[in-house]
Amino acid sequence: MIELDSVVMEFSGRRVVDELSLKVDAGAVYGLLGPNGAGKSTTINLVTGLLAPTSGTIRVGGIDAVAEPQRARGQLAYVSESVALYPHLSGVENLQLFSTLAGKSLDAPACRASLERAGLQRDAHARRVATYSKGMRQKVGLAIALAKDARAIVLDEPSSGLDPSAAAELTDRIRELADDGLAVLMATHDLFRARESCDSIGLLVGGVLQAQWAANELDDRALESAYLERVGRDADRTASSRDEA
Amino acid sequence: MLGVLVRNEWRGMLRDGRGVVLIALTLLLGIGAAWASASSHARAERAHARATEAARTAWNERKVDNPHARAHFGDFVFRPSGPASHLDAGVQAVTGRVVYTEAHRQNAAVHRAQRGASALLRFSRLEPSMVLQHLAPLVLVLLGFATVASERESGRLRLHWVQGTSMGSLLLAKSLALWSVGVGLALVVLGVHVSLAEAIDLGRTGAFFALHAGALWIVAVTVVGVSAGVRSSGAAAALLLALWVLSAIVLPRLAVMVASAAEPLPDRDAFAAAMAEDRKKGLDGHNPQDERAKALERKILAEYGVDTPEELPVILFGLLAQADEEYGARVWDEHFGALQAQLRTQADIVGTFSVVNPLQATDRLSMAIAGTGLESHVDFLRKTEAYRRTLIRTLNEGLAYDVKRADDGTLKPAATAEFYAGFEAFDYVPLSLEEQLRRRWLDLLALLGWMLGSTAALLMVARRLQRRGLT
Repeated sequence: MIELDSVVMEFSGRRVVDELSLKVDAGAVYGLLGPNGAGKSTTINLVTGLLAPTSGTIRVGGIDAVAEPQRARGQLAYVSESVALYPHLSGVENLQLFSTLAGKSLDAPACRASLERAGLQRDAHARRVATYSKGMRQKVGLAIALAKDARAIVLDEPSSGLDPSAAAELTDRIRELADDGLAVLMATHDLFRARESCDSIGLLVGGVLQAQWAANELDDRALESAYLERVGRDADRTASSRDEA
Repeated sequence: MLGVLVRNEWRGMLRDGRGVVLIALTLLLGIGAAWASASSHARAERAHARATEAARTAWNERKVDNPHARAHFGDFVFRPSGPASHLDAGVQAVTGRVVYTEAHRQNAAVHRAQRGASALLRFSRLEPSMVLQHLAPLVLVLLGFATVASERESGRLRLHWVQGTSMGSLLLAKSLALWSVGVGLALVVLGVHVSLAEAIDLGRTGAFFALHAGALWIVAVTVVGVSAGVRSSGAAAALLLALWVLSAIVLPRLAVMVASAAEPLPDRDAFAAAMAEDRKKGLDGHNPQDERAKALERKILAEYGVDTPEELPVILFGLLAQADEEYGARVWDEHFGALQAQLRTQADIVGTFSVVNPLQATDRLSMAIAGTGLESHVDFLRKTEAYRRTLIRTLNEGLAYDVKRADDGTLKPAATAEFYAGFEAFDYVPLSLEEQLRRRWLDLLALLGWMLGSTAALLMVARRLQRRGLT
């Protein structure tokens, strides 16, 4: 699971994450919604250990990510908005490389099976990643995450830039990850996709968690209204705080 | 982990068309340089062998003459270039390798390759040392400037971070992969050298390889460190190219300018004029009216207890000529010693630049290993002068003491063909590798310091990255 407790992050005295507390249980998908500059990416960076919080605690799989960042990272997988892979390597080779670096050596058949499970069509496995679409790279990213045997996964705007069918496929994969028992934390702009794939949704505005809902509490329209009601009020402030950060 | 990362870097280089073209062109140039250097070296060595043989034949076949006349006939001495000299021609091209030795004067070395070279070739000799000291670092810069910066820009560094890749291992692997390109180039160049050379000095060849492997490690580590330390690959490229220009072009020239300004050498004519002036103050063995010659004559007559030179059991001219020679030797020692001290000061000033510029330390050590540096040339001149003195003294003493009475009662030289055949040709024994390196201890220390320092700096950059420096 992923747990944040009263996390504060300040850049040059400016608070970009303010007393953030949230919990993602194993087998659950948590969607972190918010406008640009709301602090979503900062939160992701805090969970992955790329940033250390000014105060508060972060636990991944029960391990204190501030005190033991390396151990905590061992429990965590990460898929970025635009999965960055080695373009000169094939999907199989990228998966082999990154899983080996994570301490899980996979042979080629295991890699192919993993890529297939992530939804990458077989004829693309041996092709260089330079020829892949963004959606295909996302799938390799998911396969890398799966191969790590992580207990939690963090996704940063995973559906951004994907066509509707690729986004729908990704939603299915994310649900499968949760069904496998992973705690999934997903930062996104996409209200519709969040409601569809998440169990819980949190709205982050200006670094403050303004509201949290169970996804089945709201329909699309209600979620949009709740979002606009809170974001409209703070959009300017949050955008400027992001710029500052 | 390190092996996996190094293999990935190699794969990246080999699958990148630009990298392959760059490496292939550099290899071709390296092979060309080794071949060109070996063939010109072989031509020069054949010419020198012929000239040495001709000089010896001329000496042996000359009619039996007066030993002092033979001293004026003189002898040519040749400096063998040495089997490692075509790795780095050093200063040989400007200092010369042939000296005409004769009585009364110390001639400058001749046969300077650069005298015949075009202006274009003057500053761009294509030889293994140039390829490894100038071209290889540039290739490593071009291959590696984006090696970490592009990982950061693309976001792969984050993926590495989350996957648990140690940043130290990542940077070290990138350095090793880049270094291996340089080392591969050095091995190819030396392989061509070994396969084409008529004689191999394994010690010097090995030391030459170790030196350049060390220097290229510094370059590789610096390239990776800068690439990791700056925000963008563009900034890394600009900074690394500036560093290359500074260390390969600007600093070596600046060092020479500073040394020349701080310790200006007399020009060749002024040096010769000062020597001639001092020489005039001494005994002139060829001038019977010379007061100093007359004084020495009186002293010799007194020593032998006779009144006239004709009564002496020795030929007086031989003794006067040797006294003249010894005075000339003292003048040369004084002037050449002062010049050598100035050269040493200049070399020390240039040497201090090695502390800040590892490519300069490499250059100086490379010449020392090849036996083609200034130290070697000065050593050659000193040994040539020692040979000249022995030759002339033996001839003058032969003239003075190896005598016979003619029928008219006068003394005549008794030198025979065997006497002249007994003179051994000059056989230059160069400074040993150990001696050369001992004299270049500061450069060795500087290079070692750079190797350790740059590696430590790389690990510090890695540590900074490890401590959340990716964002």
